[in-house]
Amino acid sequence: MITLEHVTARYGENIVLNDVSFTVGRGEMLALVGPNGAGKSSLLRVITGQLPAQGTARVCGTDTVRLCPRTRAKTLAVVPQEIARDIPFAARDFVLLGRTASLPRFGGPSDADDDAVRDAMLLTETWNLRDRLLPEMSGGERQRLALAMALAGKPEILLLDEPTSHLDLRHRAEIMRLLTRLNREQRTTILMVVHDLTLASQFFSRLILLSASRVLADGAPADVLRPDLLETAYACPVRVIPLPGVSATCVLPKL
Amino acid sequence: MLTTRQLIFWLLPIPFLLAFCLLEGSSGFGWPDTATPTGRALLELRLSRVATGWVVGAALSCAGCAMQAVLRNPLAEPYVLGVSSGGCLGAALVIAFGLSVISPLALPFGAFVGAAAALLLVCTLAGRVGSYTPNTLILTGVVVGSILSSLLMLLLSFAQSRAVHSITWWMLGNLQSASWPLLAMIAGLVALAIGALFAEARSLNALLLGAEAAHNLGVRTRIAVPLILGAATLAAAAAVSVSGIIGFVGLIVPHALRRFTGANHRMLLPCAAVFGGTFLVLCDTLARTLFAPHEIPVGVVTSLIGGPFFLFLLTQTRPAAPLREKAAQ
Amino acid sequence: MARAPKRLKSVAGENRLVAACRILLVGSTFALVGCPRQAVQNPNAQGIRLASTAPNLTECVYAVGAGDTLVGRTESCNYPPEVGRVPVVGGFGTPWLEPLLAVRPTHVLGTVLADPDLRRRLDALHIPIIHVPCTQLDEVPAAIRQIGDLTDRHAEGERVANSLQTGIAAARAETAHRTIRPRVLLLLDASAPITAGSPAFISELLELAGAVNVGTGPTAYYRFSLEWLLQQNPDMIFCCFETRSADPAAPFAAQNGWSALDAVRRHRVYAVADLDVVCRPGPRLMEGLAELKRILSLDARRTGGP
Repeated sequence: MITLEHVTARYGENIVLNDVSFTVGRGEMLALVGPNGAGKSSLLRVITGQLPAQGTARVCGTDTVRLCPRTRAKTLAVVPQEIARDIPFAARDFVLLGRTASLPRFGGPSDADDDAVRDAMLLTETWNLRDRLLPEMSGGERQRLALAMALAGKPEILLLDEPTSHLDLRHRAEIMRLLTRLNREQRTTILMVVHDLTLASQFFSRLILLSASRVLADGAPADVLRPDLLETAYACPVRVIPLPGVSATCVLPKL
Repeated sequence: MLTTRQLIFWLLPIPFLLAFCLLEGSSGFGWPDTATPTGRALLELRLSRVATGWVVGAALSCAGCAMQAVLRNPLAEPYVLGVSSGGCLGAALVIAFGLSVISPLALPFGAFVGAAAALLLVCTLAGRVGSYTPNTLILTGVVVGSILSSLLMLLLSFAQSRAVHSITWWMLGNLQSASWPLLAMIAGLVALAIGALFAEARSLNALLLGAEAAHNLGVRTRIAVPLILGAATLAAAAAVSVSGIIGFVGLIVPHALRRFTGANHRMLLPCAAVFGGTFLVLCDTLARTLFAPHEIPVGVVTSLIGGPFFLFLLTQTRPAAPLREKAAQ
Repeated sequence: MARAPKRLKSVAGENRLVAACRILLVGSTFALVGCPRQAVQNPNAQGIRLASTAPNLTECVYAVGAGDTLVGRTESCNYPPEVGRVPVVGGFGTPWLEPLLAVRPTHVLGTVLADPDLRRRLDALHIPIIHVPCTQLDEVPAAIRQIGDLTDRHAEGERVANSLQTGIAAARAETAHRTIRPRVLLLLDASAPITAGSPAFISELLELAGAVNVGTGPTAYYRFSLEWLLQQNPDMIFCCFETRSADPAAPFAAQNGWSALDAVRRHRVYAVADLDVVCRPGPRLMEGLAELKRILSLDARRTGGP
């Protein structure tokens, strides 16, 4: 579904992605990890077509920059990290924004649109918030609404940029459970930027480690979360502790 | 936030209010005697003022909504991209060189050309800098605005006192449009601009989240943003050309309405057109009756009323459980 | 060691430069400060030197034959033609201090001085400001006499003032018995609804010519509303600005409100040919009166009545 071959991207003189290549197939669920400034957000921008790059970057077979915006929005949805808190949208109208690509210019939302909004809000447990205004909600509620907005478009690919940063333990678990379910039941391709390596190892079967605009490692958590690789990437000594009973790995910085 | 039914309830008194405004005039309260030609002319005069006020109010309010959404700045208003300075300079040149004797349309034309030229200048400069992001546009608008204001002040320093007096009065805002054909032209331009903005209402909604999020939602930002800014500036330039600089309307009407309609531009834009137009007509009625027979500039009234009213809105605490909204079906 | 002589030389060079600067500074200060004193030092040796701050006062000076005493004028002074030789030292009511001082006037003639601070500065420099009241019709003869006395042209001043007074009295007598007077709107600006109130000179001239000014506001220059104008419905409109079309009524016919006026519909809109003579309270006021009378009689011929 997503193909990157020898992609190099730059902002002016700054190279942010250097010869990055990988492929994501349909129904895959993978995490993008790496230190700040490694190029993770830039990678997402290349995939969404916002950042033109050298090399080949394709989504569903078409070049990212040449993809028609409406088609792209229906295939691919992005859940951003932050939603501005002062926009006085009602929650339901906000989630309806996720249907922008399919809404008619002058007419109102159709039944299909309303159903999609309701389904997305039920999935993210935000249906009870539907008449409240955005500024009145907590950070966690807004993040779940952001996910609902992305899901309302019924995308095949979901790109998430740190969606769990503001969530407490329970909600974090719920989001990850929801994403896992989506991936399993509807074969939604999920690509998520994660800072928490332990979380990444727990929920994802494939990790891509980005460091200094290059792909350092790409594979299963056991292959990527190695002390030598992590220390090169994060420039900081780490302790990697496999947790056998839970198929996860705990990564701690060495103090 | 209000339900659709409540909004319609608020819309109903508007035609009566507008009719009431026809009764008020600097020559006294009452329906003019339509049997006499003077009475008919008086009525026509008041009708033209009410119509102009409504068109200008609608134009400025809708332009303000669009600017605030695209530039993501609550202080954005229709004149932010140099429209006011350009329009003033154009009008001042016409007045100072006595060109208004050529035709009564010379003054509005000069103001419109000045405003449009200012926008073109802003876009060209922003293009030179290399980006059309909101920040660049606002800063370029500020720079162009101050350059044009300086040229205006230079012109004022050389002009004769009579020209200075005329220019200053024009700048303070006046809703007496010269003729029905002119008003029809302006109304056409404004309708076109507001129509374009309403067509882009969904893009405006998406742009509230930022250009990047809008792009991800499928909005062609490279086309939508210049289109929206162009339409908003067209509406503002048309308003300025016929009425001078009337401040505050484009800034506070969107804010005041958002508290009742929410940020959804499919509701906000039509409400801005209707309520913004009515607001300006009411202000103008006050302007010509408070100290009758003297008329104070309508811009003075909009500022004196708008400011405290907005402060009042800010101090209102939000209701704990907002009114139930019916789904827009 | 080779460096030391260079440094000494440069220091000496610097010293010389600094000394030169100091001399220049002090010298120019003396030169500047010294100038105004000359004006006060010997007024009689150079004779009367007048600076005018209003065009009508300039005309009065020439009318009494004292044109050679004028050393400074405003930028709006344009009559008589020989006034072009005289340097410009300011705008109407607002003389510019440096050019004014440069012409070394002995007296400054003022009728309306906009800036009170200027008065204080001129007092400090011992340059007298002669206040010549000359904004109303009946003040003109007295103003001419005053300027005549000041410039030692008493006889000429008396002659001109008497002829003006006779002319004004004759005009008053001529129109005194008229019961029907046409009602006129004096429109002072092409792009804004501005008219002259009763204290304005042009309004007085109009009344002298036998018409009535519909503008009865208390100030000489004020803005009117179109509704008021519709209620007044004047018989004629006099345009006191440069019109460029053959028919001055044409631009008004296209405008809301104006098009309903009798004066516009019957094309009784006239352009005043020479604006200076009708707006300046000065020695040419009889010409101004003649101009207004000309328009009134032209209108009377066209419409067959007053």
